[in-house]
Amino acid sequence: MGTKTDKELDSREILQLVTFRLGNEEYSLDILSVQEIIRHMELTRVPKAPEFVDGVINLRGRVIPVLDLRKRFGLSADENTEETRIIVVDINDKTVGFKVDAVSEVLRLPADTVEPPPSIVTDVDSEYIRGVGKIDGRLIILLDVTKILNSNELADITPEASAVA
Amino acid sequence: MSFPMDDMEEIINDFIAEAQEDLENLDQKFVQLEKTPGDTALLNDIFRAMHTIKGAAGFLGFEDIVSVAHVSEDILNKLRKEEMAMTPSIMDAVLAASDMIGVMIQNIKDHNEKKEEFEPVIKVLKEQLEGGGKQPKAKKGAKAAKPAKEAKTKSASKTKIVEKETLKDKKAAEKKVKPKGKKKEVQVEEPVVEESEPVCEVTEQVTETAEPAAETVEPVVEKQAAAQQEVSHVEQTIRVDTSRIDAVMNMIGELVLSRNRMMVLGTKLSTEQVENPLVGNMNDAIAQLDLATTDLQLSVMKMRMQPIAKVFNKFPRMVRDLARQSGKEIELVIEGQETELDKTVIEELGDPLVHLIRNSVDHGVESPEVREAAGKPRSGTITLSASQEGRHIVVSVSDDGKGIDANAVKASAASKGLMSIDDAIRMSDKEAYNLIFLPGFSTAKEVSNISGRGVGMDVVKTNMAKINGVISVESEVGVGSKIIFRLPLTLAIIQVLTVEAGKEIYGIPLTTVIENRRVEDSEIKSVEGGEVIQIRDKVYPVLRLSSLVSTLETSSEESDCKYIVIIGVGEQSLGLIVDRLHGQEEIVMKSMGEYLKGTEGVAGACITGDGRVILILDVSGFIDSLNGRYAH
Repeated sequence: MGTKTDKELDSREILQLVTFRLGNEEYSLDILSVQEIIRHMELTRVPKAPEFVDGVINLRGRVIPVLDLRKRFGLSADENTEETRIIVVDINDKTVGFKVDAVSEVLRLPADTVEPPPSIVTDVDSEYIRGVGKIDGRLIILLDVTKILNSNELADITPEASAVA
Repeated sequence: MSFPMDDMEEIINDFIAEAQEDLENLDQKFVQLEKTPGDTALLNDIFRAMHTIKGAAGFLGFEDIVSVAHVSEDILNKLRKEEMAMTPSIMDAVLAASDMIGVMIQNIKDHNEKKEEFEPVIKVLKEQLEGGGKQPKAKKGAKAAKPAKEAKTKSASKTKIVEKETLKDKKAAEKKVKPKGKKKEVQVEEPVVEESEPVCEVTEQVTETAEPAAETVEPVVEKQAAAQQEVSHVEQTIRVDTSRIDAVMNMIGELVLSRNRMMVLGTKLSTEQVENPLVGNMNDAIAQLDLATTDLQLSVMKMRMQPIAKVFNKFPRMVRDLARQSGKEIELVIEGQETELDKTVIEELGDPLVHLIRNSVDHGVESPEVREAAGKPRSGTITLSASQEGRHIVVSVSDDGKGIDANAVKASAASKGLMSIDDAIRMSDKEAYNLIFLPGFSTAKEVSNISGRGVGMDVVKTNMAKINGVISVESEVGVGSKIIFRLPLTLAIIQVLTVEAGKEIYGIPLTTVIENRRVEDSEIKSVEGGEVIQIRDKVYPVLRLSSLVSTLETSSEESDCKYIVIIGVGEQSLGLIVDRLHGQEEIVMKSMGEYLKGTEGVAGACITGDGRVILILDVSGFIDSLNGRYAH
């Protein structure tokens, strides 16, 4: 299931991506890592969890954490709107929700149109970016889900959480 | 061997499983036999089990097992023909042999190719065989003086057992013992003939009968009943991986939530659309669904339940061995072994009970001489009991030994530096009993084989905490002591007290809640940087839930009147200030998932009836952080 490595990006395959909006930029996740997309629902806050963890939700009997991707990437927080969605991703048996401003579409993108992450173009730390895709003049940032979940930054904030994870 | 390797492996595995089960039963029967030495039915049972093990082992080529089993069988044979009388030393030898066979089987299971030193065991057995079997072989059957009436009834009741046995044997024979198959077939056709061998002997001796026939009828009837009971107790089971049951359990949880939503919707509909006849139909359907879901939930919970006998069964043998080692006379009474408990709880219960029973044997029950001098019966009694009290299972270990001397406990704790002498003097007896659970604590003057290292009770406490059990100790010097566990019926569903702080709702496991009450802010005193409260004659450290869980945006309501929940784990307790108490709820504890696992202060989460998630507080975590506060 996991995301493809950079080497695979070079090949002539077609990437299927779920694209979404955070602020003014378009981001995307590999469709294989996405389990489902749900409307924003009532959250239960978890005290002492990392700041970017919005809380936990009840997903059909399972309790899963929801990460605010805005906070995760250090963007300014924003009010929830009608458009706000939670993208539920499932990677290495970890199910986590990502809160995003809006989900746009499923996109097919030839892998060779994706370029390596430029260093200053986006608001998001290039560590979490697999590349930038171009289609019809739009720039779409491909995110690396595994890195978002496993980065060292998380370890700094909650030593226990990452020690177990 | 002409079997392909895979088949062979399977046959050996079957043998191991059956032999281990047989041996487990044997332990039980041996101990029972020691109490009723003349019980020939029991002896026959034991003999047969040993014989089965020997036969199967021989067939599979495990010669070591055969040699040990063979000699034990010789002894058992003599015992059952009453050529030898049962003595404790014979029993020791036979038990040692059955243990040895157990070890050998385990070795086969582990594939470790280990060779056990079984010669000494055989030597002891042979000594017993020669020492005990003084009566010449010619006298065979001469002592079997039993009335004919008994013999007849017995042969009837025997048949039943034999049929059962042979059926089992037949199955086993078909499965593996091909060459033996023929012989077993014969047995099936004429079960009575083979088994009636001793009966024939008996009838020959009818004239010599000393006992009146009438007297023996009753026990025989009992035996018959027992035999029938045995037949009906044949377990019809399949093995299912617990994770599968847990998966079903989870799905049912979801079903319950959907049902709850349906019920809410149904009520709404019936108020909004009174005229529509379909609404009534739907409500009927929902009521049906409600019943079915509840039943389903209960049935799945029952799947995880097992009788506590599973743990209790190993203790008669253990007590017997310990008593003989320490030269004491002890009788073990077991009560309520049919009580059912969740599998996980049962698994955690074994070790604590072993330690408690060892303690009772070693420190509790006195030697026969001391007991007589104190005017007590020579033989001490240890009672192991289990019963259900509402939503709890109460398991207790009690003895009629010398009891716990509270002063000795205090003195020992003080001398080991576990507490100050002043504290020790002020401490009540009840509190002092709880000191025995401290790690490293022991009043034993010397470390014996059985206990005295001060580890056991700590294990008891840790295991109990793991399964939300509560321990209490009762004792009276010279009369005895009793240690009581209160355990939850199941771990899958726990009760929580829901409380509110900073507009958020949290759950506190009810097993840790001691009491709750209203408090005024003025009752809380500040001492050395921390807050404390005095309730009756006890002082509790105080934590405020709202500040424990707060972030900047949520602050506690400013009101004078709050509630305090006194929570405790083991010997430590503290007061938790909350804004409001909501109530008691039954919940299914869920993990927070890999990502948030280990978040401070949170033990898990649960989903309430209306689909919301509430967090369950980790009480022992609070207590640890409190200890940290004092340490700084």
